[in-house]
Amino acid sequence: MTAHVNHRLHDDIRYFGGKDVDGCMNCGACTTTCPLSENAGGGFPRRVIRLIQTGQSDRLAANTDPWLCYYCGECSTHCPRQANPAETMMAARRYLTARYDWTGLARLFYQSAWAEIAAICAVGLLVAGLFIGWHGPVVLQRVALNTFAPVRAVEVGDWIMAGLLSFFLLSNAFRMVRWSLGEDVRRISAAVYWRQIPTFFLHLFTQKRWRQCGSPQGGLRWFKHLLLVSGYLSMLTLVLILLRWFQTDHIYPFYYPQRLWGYYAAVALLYPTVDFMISRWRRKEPIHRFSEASDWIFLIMLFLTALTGLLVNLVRINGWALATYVIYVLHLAIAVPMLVVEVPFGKWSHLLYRPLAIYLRGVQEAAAVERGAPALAPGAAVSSS
Amino acid sequence: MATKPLTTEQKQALALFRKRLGGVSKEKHERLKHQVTLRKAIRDFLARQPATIPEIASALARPADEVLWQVMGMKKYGRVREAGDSGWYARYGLIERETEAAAGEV
Amino acid sequence: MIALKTLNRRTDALVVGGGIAGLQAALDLADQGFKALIVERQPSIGGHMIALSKVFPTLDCASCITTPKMSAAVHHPKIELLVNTEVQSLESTGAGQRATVTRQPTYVDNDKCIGCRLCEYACEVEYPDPFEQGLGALRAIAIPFANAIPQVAVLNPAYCTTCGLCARACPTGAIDYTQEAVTFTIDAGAVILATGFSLNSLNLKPQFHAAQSRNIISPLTMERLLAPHAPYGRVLRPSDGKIPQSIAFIHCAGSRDQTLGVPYCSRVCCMYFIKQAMLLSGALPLADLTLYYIDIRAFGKGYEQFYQNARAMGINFVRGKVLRIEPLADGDLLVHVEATEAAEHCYRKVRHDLVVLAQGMVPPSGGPALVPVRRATDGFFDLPEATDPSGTNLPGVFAAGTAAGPKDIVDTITDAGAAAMAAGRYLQRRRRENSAPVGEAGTRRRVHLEPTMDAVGAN
Repeated sequence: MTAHVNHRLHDDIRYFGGKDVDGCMNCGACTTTCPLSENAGGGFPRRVIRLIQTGQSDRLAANTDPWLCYYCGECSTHCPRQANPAETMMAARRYLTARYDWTGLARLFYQSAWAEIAAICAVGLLVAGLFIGWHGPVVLQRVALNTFAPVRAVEVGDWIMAGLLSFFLLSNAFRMVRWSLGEDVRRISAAVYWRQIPTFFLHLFTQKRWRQCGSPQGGLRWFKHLLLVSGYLSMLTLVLILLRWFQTDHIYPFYYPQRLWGYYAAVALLYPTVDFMISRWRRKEPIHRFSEASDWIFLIMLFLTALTGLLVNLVRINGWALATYVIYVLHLAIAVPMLVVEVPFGKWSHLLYRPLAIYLRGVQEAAAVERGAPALAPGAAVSSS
Repeated sequence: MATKPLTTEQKQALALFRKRLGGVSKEKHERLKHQVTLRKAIRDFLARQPATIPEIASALARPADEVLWQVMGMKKYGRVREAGDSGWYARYGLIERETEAAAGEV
Repeated sequence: MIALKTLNRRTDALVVGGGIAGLQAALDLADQGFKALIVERQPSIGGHMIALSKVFPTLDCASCITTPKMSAAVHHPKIELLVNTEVQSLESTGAGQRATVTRQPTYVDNDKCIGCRLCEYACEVEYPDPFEQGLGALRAIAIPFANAIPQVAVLNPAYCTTCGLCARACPTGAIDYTQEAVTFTIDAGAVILATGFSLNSLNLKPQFHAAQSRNIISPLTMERLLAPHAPYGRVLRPSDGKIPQSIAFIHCAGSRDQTLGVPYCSRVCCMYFIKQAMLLSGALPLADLTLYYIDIRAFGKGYEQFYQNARAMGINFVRGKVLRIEPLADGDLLVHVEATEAAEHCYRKVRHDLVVLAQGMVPPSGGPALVPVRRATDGFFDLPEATDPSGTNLPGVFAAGTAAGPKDIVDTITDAGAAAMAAGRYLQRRRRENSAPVGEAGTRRRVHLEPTMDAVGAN
């Protein structure tokens, strides 16, 4: 196998936040400390650092290891050279997101905060402009959101956006699959691909691998993150599939599922985002010690989306018609650019890439077993030499 | 071993020394008592047949590292000798003492 | 503590520390005709080296090299030796350096003691022998170790039960219970600090669980296990006396690690581990010996060949830093490592009977901390001038051996010789200045700031 040496990979990773790769002497201490490395295959996380040091960008692009790391920070705590392997893994995830994305936008957004902000503003203004130009009649006597923004029209917009974003995201994911399986992509039987599908959904909905992660706050962080994901998936279901039921002018009683579910989603988005922002600000947990602009933008946008969504509901219930319409537009002018920028080109994409990486690992292992070869991920070899 | 009684002067010096040390602590006495009784038990056990450290330790219900240390002390000062190996362990046997009186010593 | 003026004394050169560096420096000075006084805080000179088994890369017996030096120093007409004595402070007087030292009581009159050991045989109390790293037993009154110099008994008050048996057994009446610590001063023209090193703790990394296992040992403990008069008489592991069949050597366990505050390399561990593994392959021909290393630093003369020989002998070298050791119920240890050069199965958990940790070399605690010589960032004495590799920031105060940083024995001896030469040159210059006519002092001083053949040959 020929390997191209990309002498700029090292600098490239630096732009994605991996600033201490130089310090690594490849002693393997990180691998020994990592609570996940035993079943993550060989050299986890050291080999990712090695690939960066040796400029093997193609092999790095084909490597899914970074997605298997949940940043407990143990390796960085114990690294004898203080080379910060956990942050290098984080940078590698950003790099991979950018590599998978064929449009080049992810790279642009990660490497220039201003480009990302400009894109968000542009999409936000476009959404606001659409409403200013084509909104329905403004009824001020009562709150008539469905007159101002007919739910069917919004739904059409929703599905167009979902279709576009899915196209970008899935095409990126396809590149990830193609690269990581390499030559084997066609050799592996369809049955193997099929049988591993439950793995994907299991990890998508539970992130259960994270539970093995080592930091003292690991369990709590997993819970907060799970809460965030549940809030996000709730919201996705409500605005995409159940929009007609969710966006109504009728005010249901508090305990009605439509309201309760909405409140749950709002809280499940607000609490973790606020908590993560505080933690990042105070650099409390290892994962939050280093923050790139992209991390902040994602958190702030997610927070504002949930906040304006909750506000729409509050002013609507209070019967403030004009405020409802204004905040509704504002909500969409934040939510839409957040999704457009983050889902295929930004941090949101890890929601797909992480379980996909675990799925691919499962496929590779199952394929190896089928071939009769020893499992690719060797686990820990216990020998008594 | 030829010993002579302490002179009055030596007795006084010893009393002064004891006083400067702040008396002999209970801990020191306990330590010595433990050493004497444990070594007597080891000697009694080894009087039957040579044994390995884990064998002595389990017979006397004492930690093996402690038994090893005591046996090595006895070995250094001529009470015990090595008597072949048993698996991955060495066996230790008593050195027969010439006089009865010496058997009472540590 | 009492101060005895009668004990105050003068010397040309005060050598602080009686290890191999101090002995070499004192001998080199004394052979040039200077009076040297060695102050050693332990009851015997010899330092760390006298406790070693063999030295790399020649595999010469360490005590066979050290004992003659110790003996030569103690018998040299120009060398005076003060043991059990520690420097409390060092100050510059106009005329030179004044050290305040304290001599601890040994409760034995060294002039009367003939080293017959009858007191030791009479004593009943035994405690873990510090010279044997706690492995063997030592009596409360005893000669510190077989080849200790001076060969006199020392009573340890921490364990003595004041039974008086030693005084009754002593044929020369050397036991002196009335001794007390005494403080006095030493005026010296020059001082050589040969205060050596300490090893940092085995417990620095909690993931090693060294506190939970007696089978995780210091390299100095391994030296004692391998020594000709070893505490066990052979190599056994300390938890239960098992003859070890699988021994792990963990390199860089206390140095090259920023999390421990020891970023530097201790320089000797690679080689002493290779040496220990070689000696063990002789002592335990069936045992598996595995060295877990990051890089092998075989930098000295003959070292690389020594390393290659070890590989050829079948000693295992696994590249990877061990960061986790799990003690098992049977006393064995599970070493976690990433074998970074292995193609697969690189994350390994390997079972060993005995584990040796290469602790880091750090500055010693205690006495030398009180000396007002500037320290480098690593905590060792700072040697500011590259062209004066023994000189500290204080004129007339020199550092030799590991007091200035980690070194192996070869380098330590070379270094001690250099320090002795620098101190000798300094003493010569001072003598000349002091004997010069007053009016000419200024001009002569300028001339003799630079070393000259004249200055060296003037004695």
